[in-house]
Formats: sequence, structure tokens, C-alpha cells
Amino acid sequence: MKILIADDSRVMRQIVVRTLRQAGFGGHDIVEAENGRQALELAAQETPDLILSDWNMPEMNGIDLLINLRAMGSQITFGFVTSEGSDEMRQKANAAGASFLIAKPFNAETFADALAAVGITS
Amino acid sequence: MSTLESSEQLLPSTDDLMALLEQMWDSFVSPMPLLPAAPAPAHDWSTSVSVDGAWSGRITLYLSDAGAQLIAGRMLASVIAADPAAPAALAEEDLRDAIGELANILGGNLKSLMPEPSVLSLPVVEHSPAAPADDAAPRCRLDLAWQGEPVTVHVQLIASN
Repeated sequence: MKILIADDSRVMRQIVVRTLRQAGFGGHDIVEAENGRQALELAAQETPDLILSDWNMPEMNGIDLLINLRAMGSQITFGFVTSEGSDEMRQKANAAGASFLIAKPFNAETFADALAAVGITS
Repeated sequence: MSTLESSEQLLPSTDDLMALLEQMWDSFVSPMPLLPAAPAPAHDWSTSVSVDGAWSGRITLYLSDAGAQLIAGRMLASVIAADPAAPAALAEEDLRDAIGELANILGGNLKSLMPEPSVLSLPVVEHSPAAPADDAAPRCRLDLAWQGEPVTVHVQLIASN
């Protein structure tokens, strides 16, 4: 499986990779993007199976990334990994076509549960 | 009721702020606890985000040079361990990235506790910042220490745009 991780923080991208490994998803191909615009380009080029995206990013934020992907007909499984986990944000994410929202801070169990809920297991 | 008293009711409690900070620390920095401390006379770094909307405020984390290095080092531990060529001291870019992310997480979680809708800014990281304002404006402040280094968190209401 190929996973695209979009976050403007390199540190957070590395923490997400580390947490995926701890959750049993260490053997997958990882592609990284620094913002939504780059993620949109990489989603077309790399055809990932899963996108894990921050919400608050420069250039293009995560919700606009998701809206653009769905407008282009992409049905890639999409989950947010964001510091904003309120009900309002979860409803917006769901309405735009996200499968889940993982709120920061998180742990390996949070990732395993969210991915299992959409049928992705290690 | 004065405007000031009304505004104070819109600040997070120090208990809520401490709970958010401890959760973030335990997940991404260290299980070593943050301890109450006397206010630090000066800080070397500040990292802040603002929230603008139904609730508008700024959340700032103040750190020492040594504290910022230690904290960013803990957050990047797996990256450094995987790279034998990594220098002993973190690059400033990585340090700014790491502590900026802490402000983002604190701000995002705090935003979720306060009236919505509102928008979270991207983090701003400054070296040699001004000391936390000790004025009459309502604020919520935690003075802590981690590994002997000062960690100050400051939440202040700001005028909505």
C-alpha cells in the first residue's frame, strides 16, 4: 500500500511515519507533501491508496485538498490528522468525504483504530 | 458586569490548559512530567498561534534555548536515530518546525474547547521574544519547568478582526 502524508511540519510527518510503524503499518510506501497543493499533484502522480493530511497548511489547506480531489473524481481514502478535532471540524471533514479524523496528539492505538474502521489493517 | 469580567469568563481554565499540555507532552515530547515553577525572568523562544472568530485569542509557548533544543530533540528522536550523519545540535529549521507544531497542537485543541466557528492561524516562531505581557488584559498563564528548563504557556484574548 502507498500512503501519502501531507503536513507542513517535517517533524509531524516524521511523527506520523513513526506512529504508523508503531501501529503495525511500517512496511508500506510513504510519500510526503509539504502542503495541500503539493499533495494534490502527488495524488495524481503517485496514485496512493490512502492520504493522511493535516488541515491547517499554507498554499492549500487539507479541506480544500479533499474538495479538489473529490471534484476531480478521486475516491482515494482520505483521513485528517489535525490538531482541530471539534465536532464542527469532524462534520466538515465528513461532509467533504473524509473517512476519519485523527486529532493530535495521538498514539499508535488511535491510528490502528481509525484505519481498521475503514478496513485497512496491518 | 464589566467587559473585563465578561472576557475573563471566555478564557480557558488553568486546569484545562494544563490537561491539554500534559496530553501533548506525553504523546510527542516525554513522559517526564511538567512541574510547577516560579515565573522565569526571560525566555529565548516563543511559538504562538492565534484563533480568530467566535472566540479570538493567542496561545503562546515560551521556552529557553536549552529547553527548545531538548524538546525538539525528543520530538525528532526517531529521525536523528535513523540518520548517522545528523549533527549533535538540531538545525534551527528543525527546532522552529518542532516547537511551532507544539503551538499548533495546543491552539487547535484549545480552539475546540472555545466557542466556534473560528479559524486557527499557522504558527509563528520567534527567537528572543518579548516577555509575556504582564498587563491588565485577561489572560491565563502557566509557569512550569521540564528537565529544569522553564516552560511558560500564555493565553490572551485578542480583538476579533
